[in-house]
Amino acid sequence: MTLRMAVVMAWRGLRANGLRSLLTMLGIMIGVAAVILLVGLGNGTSARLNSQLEALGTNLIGVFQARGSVSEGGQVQPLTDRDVEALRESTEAPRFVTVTPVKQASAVIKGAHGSWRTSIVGSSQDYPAALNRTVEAGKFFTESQVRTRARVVVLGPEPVRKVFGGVPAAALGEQVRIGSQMFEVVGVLKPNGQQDDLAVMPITAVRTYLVDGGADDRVDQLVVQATGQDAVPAAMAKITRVLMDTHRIDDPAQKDFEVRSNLDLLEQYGEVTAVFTLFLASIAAIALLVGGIGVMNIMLVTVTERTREIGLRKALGAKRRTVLEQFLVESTVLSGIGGSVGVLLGVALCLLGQRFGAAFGDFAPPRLSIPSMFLAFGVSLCIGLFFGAYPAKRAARLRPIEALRYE
Amino acid sequence: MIELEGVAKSYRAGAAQVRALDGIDLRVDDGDFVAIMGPSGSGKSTMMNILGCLDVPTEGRYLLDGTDVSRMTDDELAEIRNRKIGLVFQSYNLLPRTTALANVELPLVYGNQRARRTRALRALEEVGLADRAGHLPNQLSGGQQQRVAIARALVTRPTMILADEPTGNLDTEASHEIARMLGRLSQAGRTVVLITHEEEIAAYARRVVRLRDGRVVGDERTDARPGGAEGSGEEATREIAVGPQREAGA
Repeated sequence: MTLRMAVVMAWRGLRANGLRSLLTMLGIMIGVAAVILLVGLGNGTSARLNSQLEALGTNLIGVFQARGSVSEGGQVQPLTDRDVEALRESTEAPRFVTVTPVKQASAVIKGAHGSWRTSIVGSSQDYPAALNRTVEAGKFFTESQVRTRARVVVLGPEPVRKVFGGVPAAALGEQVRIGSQMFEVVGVLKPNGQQDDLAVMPITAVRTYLVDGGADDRVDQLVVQATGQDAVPAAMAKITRVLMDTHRIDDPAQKDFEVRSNLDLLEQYGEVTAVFTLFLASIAAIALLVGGIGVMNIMLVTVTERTREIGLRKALGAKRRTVLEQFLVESTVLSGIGGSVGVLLGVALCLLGQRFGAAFGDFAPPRLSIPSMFLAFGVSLCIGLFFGAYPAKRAARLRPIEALRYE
Repeated sequence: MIELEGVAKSYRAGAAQVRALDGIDLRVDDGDFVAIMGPSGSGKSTMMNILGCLDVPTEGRYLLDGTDVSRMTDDELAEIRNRKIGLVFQSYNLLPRTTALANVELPLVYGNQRARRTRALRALEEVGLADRAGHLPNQLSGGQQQRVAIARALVTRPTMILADEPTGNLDTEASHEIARMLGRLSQAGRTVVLITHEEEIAAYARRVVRLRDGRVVGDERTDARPGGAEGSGEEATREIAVGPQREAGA
């Protein structure tokens, strides 16, 4: 008997009990659709995290002052301009593209149309390159403006909205009051969805006009740009060496600073999201398993109901193998149809989620994973084979005389 | 040719050993029409199971066309049933929701035979149901269903057609029609073994074997057959009636 005939025969058998077959398929369908949807959600979340982190730049290394106390009573030395210079001037390989100091403050920006409290970032001319930001209108401040403590500011999109009604061009060239001084708006940053509520000005200006004591050379954070993602580990090692030198620390355990790369974060998030996706997939797998048990249940009922038919087929010359195949094909067709419809359903749900998910607030759109589609369909076929095996074996083992006598 | 040599079959029923067949010797020649009769409990059903290769004897030998089938495995028996035996049951046992034609094709499917459709149609023609090929079993009368079952039994050109109480579910008229049809098949050279408890039906056979308590207690050739004679008489008239039409057609 050919496979085609077996499939036709199985189809007939399934159609004979339409509703029952449909309900059994529904179990597999829901399982497969759940696998595809949940894996899609997991992938979507992971993709969004990755793109957010990548937007920050994968070649960036942050240097922070260590929190809390350092062991053995060592004193925590703050990061200063000296550290910036040491890093910039070190000739050791690998090279750094930029070394950018960042100093944080907070202040109210007062303009012609309103005022807004925002975080003030004092930095150098390299800030846009180092933090992957683009200037939407106007220009970023220059090195000479940093040197001369120019009272210029580059606004983020949020202050522009609050103070200038959201029109970047309207803000350009305007004077705003920050603290006690007037600053000229020279540029507006493009939004990046991460940090849009800020205003950037020369670090020297922050020190002079916003923080007490203009002589302070401290910085809160350093952003070092490595030549590429591959150069990050070597660059991190170099930063550690240079700063231990400027801080006069010999024992790495006594370091009073921390060096972290976005890549580290990316990897950590990657691990977390992989576990998350796996967790979602295993929930879906349970649904699929329950569907498989449904298939087994219904196949057992079918075999019992069709005992006479099996007896007849054997009496007419069907061998064990033939009967076994017939019922295996039937359960596989059952779960296969359920699986294909489930794939379609899962894909449809993912597409719906991509289209309308945003309506439910902050929601990462599901990302369809092609392998998960094939996997879920393949697993549904295997479920048919696996859970159909026992009922089919029972059918194949029936003895024709007893089966024919069965009422 | 069918030969049983000292065939015995015992079952264990609880503590007791039941000997359903107790040393049967029987030889059926090709083309013969044998009725096996006996009251209930005489071993008829066991006889049917063994003759039909649905079961194997505990003792003795069963030779079918010279092959000993009494020690075969389940799958070997399935193949023998498929190739050498055409079974007809009391309750027809047609597959529901399956056309007459597809039902008749079934043994050919299991035998991996070619030209299934043509051969199945020819078998249906032989039982006079070619025009019902596309009908489902529930659209056919009992007699017609049994004729489809007979077509299914003869489609593989088996050594023996084995009918187990084929008229048990039919009214008198249909019963006689089925019996006559078996008679015709035997006249056409097929070996027919009919298991029945109805004397009227057994009368169509050319030989009647009687069983009692698992033993053969009677074996007679009956050439004076009231039912059978009537049947062949009708047969003859029908052939005469058909003859001229054929000539007219030609």
